[in-house]
Amino acid sequence: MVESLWADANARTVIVCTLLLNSAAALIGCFTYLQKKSLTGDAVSHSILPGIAIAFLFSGVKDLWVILPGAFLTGGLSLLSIEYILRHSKLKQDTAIALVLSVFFAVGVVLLSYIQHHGNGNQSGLDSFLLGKAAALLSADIPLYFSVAFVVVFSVLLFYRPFMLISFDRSFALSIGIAAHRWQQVMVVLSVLAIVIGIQAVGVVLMSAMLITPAVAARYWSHRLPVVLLLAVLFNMIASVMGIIISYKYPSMPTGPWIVVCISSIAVLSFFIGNAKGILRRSSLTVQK
Amino acid sequence: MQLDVSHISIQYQDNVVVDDVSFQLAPASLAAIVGPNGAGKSSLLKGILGIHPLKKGNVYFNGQTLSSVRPHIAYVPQRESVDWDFPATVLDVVLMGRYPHLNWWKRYRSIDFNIARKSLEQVNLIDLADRQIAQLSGGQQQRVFLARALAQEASIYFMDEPFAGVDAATEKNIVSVLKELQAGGKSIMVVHHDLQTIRSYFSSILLLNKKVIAFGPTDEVFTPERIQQTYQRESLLL
Repeated sequence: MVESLWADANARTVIVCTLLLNSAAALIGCFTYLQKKSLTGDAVSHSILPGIAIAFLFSGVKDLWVILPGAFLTGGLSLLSIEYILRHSKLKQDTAIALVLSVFFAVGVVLLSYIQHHGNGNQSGLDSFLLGKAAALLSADIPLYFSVAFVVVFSVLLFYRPFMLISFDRSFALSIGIAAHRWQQVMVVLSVLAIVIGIQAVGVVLMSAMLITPAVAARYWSHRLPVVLLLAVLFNMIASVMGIIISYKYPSMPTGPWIVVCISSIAVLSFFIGNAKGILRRSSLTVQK
Repeated sequence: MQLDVSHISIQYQDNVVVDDVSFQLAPASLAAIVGPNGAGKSSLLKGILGIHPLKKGNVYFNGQTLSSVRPHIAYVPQRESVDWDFPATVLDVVLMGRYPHLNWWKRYRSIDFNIARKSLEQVNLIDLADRQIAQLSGGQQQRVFLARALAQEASIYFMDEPFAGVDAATEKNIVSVLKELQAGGKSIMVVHHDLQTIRSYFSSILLLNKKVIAFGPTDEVFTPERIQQTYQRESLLL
């Protein structure tokens, strides 16, 4: 099965592309997880849907060049909305996130059904953004996917130290003159980018799982951040390949849920047998007083 | 290093937490900041360090502004302010103190590792250098934070409640490190809660309750009347 997939030039491109996309998601996702902003990532990915629909409504095409700015716009808008609600109301963060997520997603679904009922023939496949369809990655878009994923991966590696510092101890980072607010914005932009490029393969509904779950799984195996980052990428790659193989074998199956089922299985397994924090290993650790 | 704080005020939304505070800390001082809960002690440190913006007033270090002397300033936040489950070892955290001496893309040099190890020796944690920080006791975590500050090789140190919830051995270790720093000509400001130990630990004291109640050598300033005055609001409530 794998050999025949690999022999197909198109499938090969899709696999390599998805691996890169999900590596980007895993890397920036580790920092999202460590900063306890997992739910925010979920809000962003759901809020991308209306952006895609609006971009399609205006342009009539589903090229990445058009979809990407739309997705980035509403994804970013959802973050600003959460921030606005927190600043101007007494609502807590989880409430603000739930509100924004559901409003944006509802608008997205409404627009999507409108498009499907007033379609102009081009719309076929727009619903694959909901649950993801790796095979639907357009070959014309692949260079752009590649470049954005590369920017995310490269930035995380380059800015590793400031990202790590503000994730662990923001006050200390500020005290030594790190512009924590500005670095935070860089991280937010990178995570929105990683989410936006991941949605074709994984879908808006489950995309946040590609950021958080590999980080959670990797944390059970190591106490060192560089190792956690590496393992998160590795786990996402394994899950992506498995998901793609299944969705190629059964074309009616969406890719996203399968990738998420795979990465979640890895996380559950890690929870039990992870050699750093897994519950079956934990008894061997002792706190030295 | 000489610290000049002149008429600073700090505000969170509409709430003034530090009101027109001025004092001068001489070089080689070991000073406690003392006051009731909500007196603005932590906020005062954060204001001096530029972590929280000042509403008004100025802070000078040897007559210079914060940005030009930042590598010479070390800060120990409250231990509870970070998540100790973060994937890092003791040495990783202490090395963070070397960050101001590097550029953000540069690798740690062997001198950075040497300084980090030396700092761990000072707080008796060298044997735990490779240990994951979640596996430390509260006192050990506090000493890791102290070691990180030592690795900064600063001229002035600001510490937010380093004695909160630590064991007796840790408290003794921290006090001796602070006295060593002072003997080496460094200035230290410590937010402190335990009124019993102030006389033996600190040479000067800042009594704070949003405003400065008194500032000066411990012998002169640390009097029952002044303490009464500082904690007034709380004792009225009682």
